[in-house]
Amino acid sequence: MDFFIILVIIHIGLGEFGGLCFLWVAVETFNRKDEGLRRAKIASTIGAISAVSSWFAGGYYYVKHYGTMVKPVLIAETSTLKWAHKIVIEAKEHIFLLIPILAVTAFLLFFKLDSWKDLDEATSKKVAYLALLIFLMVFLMAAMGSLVSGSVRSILGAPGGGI
Amino acid sequence: MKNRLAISALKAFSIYAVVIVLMVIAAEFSPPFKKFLADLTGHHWTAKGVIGASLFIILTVIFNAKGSDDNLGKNINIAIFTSVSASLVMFLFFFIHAM
Repeated sequence: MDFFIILVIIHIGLGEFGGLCFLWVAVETFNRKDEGLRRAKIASTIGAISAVSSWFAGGYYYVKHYGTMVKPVLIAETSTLKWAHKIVIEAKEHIFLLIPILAVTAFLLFFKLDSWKDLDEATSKKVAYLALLIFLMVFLMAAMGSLVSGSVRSILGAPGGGI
Repeated sequence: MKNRLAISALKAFSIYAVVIVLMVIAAEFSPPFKKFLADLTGHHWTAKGVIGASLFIILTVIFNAKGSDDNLGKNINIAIFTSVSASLVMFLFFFIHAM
């Protein structure tokens, strides 16, 4: 299997796994059970590491492969799917920059948290919403990535029209 | 002061998000700026990430060292608002820019 295919699979896998970690963090934070704090700390740590690793994997793929091999397909003269690069990828590659840093921020929040009692209930809910936001942003990235992959496969004549 | 590191990181993130949006828009309207970014690290996108991440780390350290009585809940709200706004602005920018 081509190295760059493996790399994009790693990027997607780590990214979505990281997103699921923050969904877990959100659930533990909404519940505020004593034993849940330890799980939230572990999940936020693994989630932040996954998000940053996904950044490196995806970044290498984007810089070394996407620009020369994928983008030309999308913006070719005959392409009717130029928006997949000009809007979707351009937005995705920049919105993505927010996610690993937000994940690290959430990790730092949990890193120093000794007890749920350090957060009043209202603030605890806000922390949960922050974790939920990370999860939703990750899955927005997955959706945008799917749109672009489908567009490329459609242009190249994949069976089923690229879906 | 409780939650000082978290508050510092949240403030740093909110500033980081705004700087990212400004760099994204500036790079699209200013080819010399885009070239400057590309010359820094080999690709303009990589440079935005490196500059942004460096800024986030430096600001977190500075804010943490200074400390303040700021409110954790308020800073989480600002970070959430900034993330969502920055994402929307960047999406709309590229949507309009592509027209």
